[in-house]
Amino acid sequence: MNSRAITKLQASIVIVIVVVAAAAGAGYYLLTPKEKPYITVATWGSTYLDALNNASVPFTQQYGIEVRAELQGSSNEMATKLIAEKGQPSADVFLGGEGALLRVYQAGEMANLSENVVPNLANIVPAARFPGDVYVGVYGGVAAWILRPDLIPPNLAYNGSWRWFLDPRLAGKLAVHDPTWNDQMSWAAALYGGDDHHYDPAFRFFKDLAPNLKFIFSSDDQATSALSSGEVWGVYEYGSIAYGMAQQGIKVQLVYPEDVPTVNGIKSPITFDVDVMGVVKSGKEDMAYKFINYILSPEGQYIYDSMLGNSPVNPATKAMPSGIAPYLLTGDQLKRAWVADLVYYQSIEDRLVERWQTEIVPLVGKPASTGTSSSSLVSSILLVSALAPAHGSALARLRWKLF
Amino acid sequence: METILNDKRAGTRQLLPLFPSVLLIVFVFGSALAYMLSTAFFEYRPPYVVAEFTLENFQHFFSTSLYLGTLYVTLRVAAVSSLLCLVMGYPIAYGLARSKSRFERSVLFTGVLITLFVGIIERIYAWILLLDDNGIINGFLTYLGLGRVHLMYNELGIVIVSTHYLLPFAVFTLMGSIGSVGSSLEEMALGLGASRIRVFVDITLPLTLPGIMSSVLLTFSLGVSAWAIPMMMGGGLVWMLSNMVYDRVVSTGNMPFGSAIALVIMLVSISSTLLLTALFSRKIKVE
Repeated sequence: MNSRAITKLQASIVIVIVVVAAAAGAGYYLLTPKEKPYITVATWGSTYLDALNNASVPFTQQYGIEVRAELQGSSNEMATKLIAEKGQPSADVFLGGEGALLRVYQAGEMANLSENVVPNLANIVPAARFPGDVYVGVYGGVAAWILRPDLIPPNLAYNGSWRWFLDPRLAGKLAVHDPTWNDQMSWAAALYGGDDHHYDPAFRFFKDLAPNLKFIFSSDDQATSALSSGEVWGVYEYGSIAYGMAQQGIKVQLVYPEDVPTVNGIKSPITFDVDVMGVVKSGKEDMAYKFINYILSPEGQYIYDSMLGNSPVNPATKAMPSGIAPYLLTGDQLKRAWVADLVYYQSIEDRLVERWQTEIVPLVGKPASTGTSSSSLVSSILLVSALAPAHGSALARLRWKLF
Repeated sequence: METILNDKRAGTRQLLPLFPSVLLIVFVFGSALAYMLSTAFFEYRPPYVVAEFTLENFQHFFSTSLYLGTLYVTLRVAAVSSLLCLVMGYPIAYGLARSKSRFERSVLFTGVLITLFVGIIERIYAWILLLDDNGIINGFLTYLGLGRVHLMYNELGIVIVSTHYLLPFAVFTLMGSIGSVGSSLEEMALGLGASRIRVFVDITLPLTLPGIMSSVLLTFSLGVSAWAIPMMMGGGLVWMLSNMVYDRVVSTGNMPFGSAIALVIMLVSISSTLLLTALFSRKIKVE
């Protein structure tokens, strides 16, 4: 076979492959059922995803619109992504913390809501609505301390006061969120005479609390994991986290200290937080409005919020299942619900985070005592045996922040 | 002359298949890098990034003890992890390269390789089970009456997990280097009466210095840019630069300052690489 014959054979093979591929492609296109219209909702995973899936079933049946999920580790992470995706967003509806949605809105990537396109806006509580209806609260939750009463010694049982958390016997037994969560910072500010526009007192409080902290978490998973394993006895978290843990059979108690000073005219305020949903400018705004309207309906609220263990924002929603009751605010507590000013917080957050890392982090776990001599000895032995071959005499010169 | 031209044409043709990947790298990574570089010189007025040239981000970084301290911690953790990987990885790599038993080699190889099959997050959670105050190690120490050791939320915890994560990279890099040296020189030295230690110090070690350099550079660079390990093992108490980048970019939306920190990490990695290369090259030449 000469070289010209080989070239012809090669060309024939290429042509056959191209024809077969084209036929397969055309066949696939013709045989594949036409895709239903769909929207993508950016949401957290776990129970949030379950709640979304549950609520999506009746919505899809009613409107013929499929709902897909785009999972987010944190809503701040998703906000950064949506802003970067400018005009080509990976989600049409964004569920997240108010701060995250505010960033996306300020970047011009979200469409306003209105009662014309989301009629159920007219039926929800005022606390869930925001100026300009840039997004809407889909459930309300409290920020509070979640304790493990089964781990706390009886002589140290919680006594209803915020001062209890400063008891030296709780050294290394508590954990708090990092300062990117404004509810926690606002609550702490309130204790020492500040409010949601004055955060110096919050830093004073955390300096006093630091010896009792084991670590600082930046995600709910870290908090629940440490609380479940008994590594800490209490964390400052969302009430819905307590509900989730209780469902797993872990004994938890949600507590609201009663002696918090009056803030903005609210006596013993309880920091209240609504997670919000908004419409991303993606070209599918009409379908997204329909979805949000459904979630705000009494039916949607019950399905969605009962799964999460949060309070519905539509008062017409039927009573939540009895198991959730201990994690929702009662009528009296609702009067003390305080929504801190997030817009102001975001304008100073960068500086607060830096200040936290400089002033609070070095004090965490550096209490009256720094551990037993035996633990220090064992630690030193472990460290030296691990590092000696690599460092030799240089080891001694390294200053280690170990304990 | 014609032969040279033909050779050149053949060489160019051989390089053609590289074109798509080079283009992809330049386009994708180059544009991301260019974006990061440019943003680092922009101003941040919460919540907006303002495209006005400023050096304030770098000035702030290098004049704030918080960031300089974090840079120091980052370098320290990466350096210690890298050295531990070298010390622990060298004997394993030596065993893999020199062992005459196929079974022994398979066991070692699988043992090292298998750690790469498990995701980093799963591995960290496994370490948490071992290291936390109520974990297996502390349970054992308490049982022995030795008291608890704080192995998490400090640099020690980060170094332990980082070393575990980086070890396979060190082993595989060293294994290639040791394997390429060949055992004939060692056998000759042994035949001439040298002790095993002398053979190792005078022959094996100097000849594998390039591999040692590659291993240290690789593990150090990976260590400097670690994010998940310090995030989960540091418990918000030990910060490394990558965590600062994440925090500034994702949590507070300060992209310019986050980019500036990322640029510092990159420069630190490049300078460390150049420095180590210079040091090792000198050593190799001397040897």
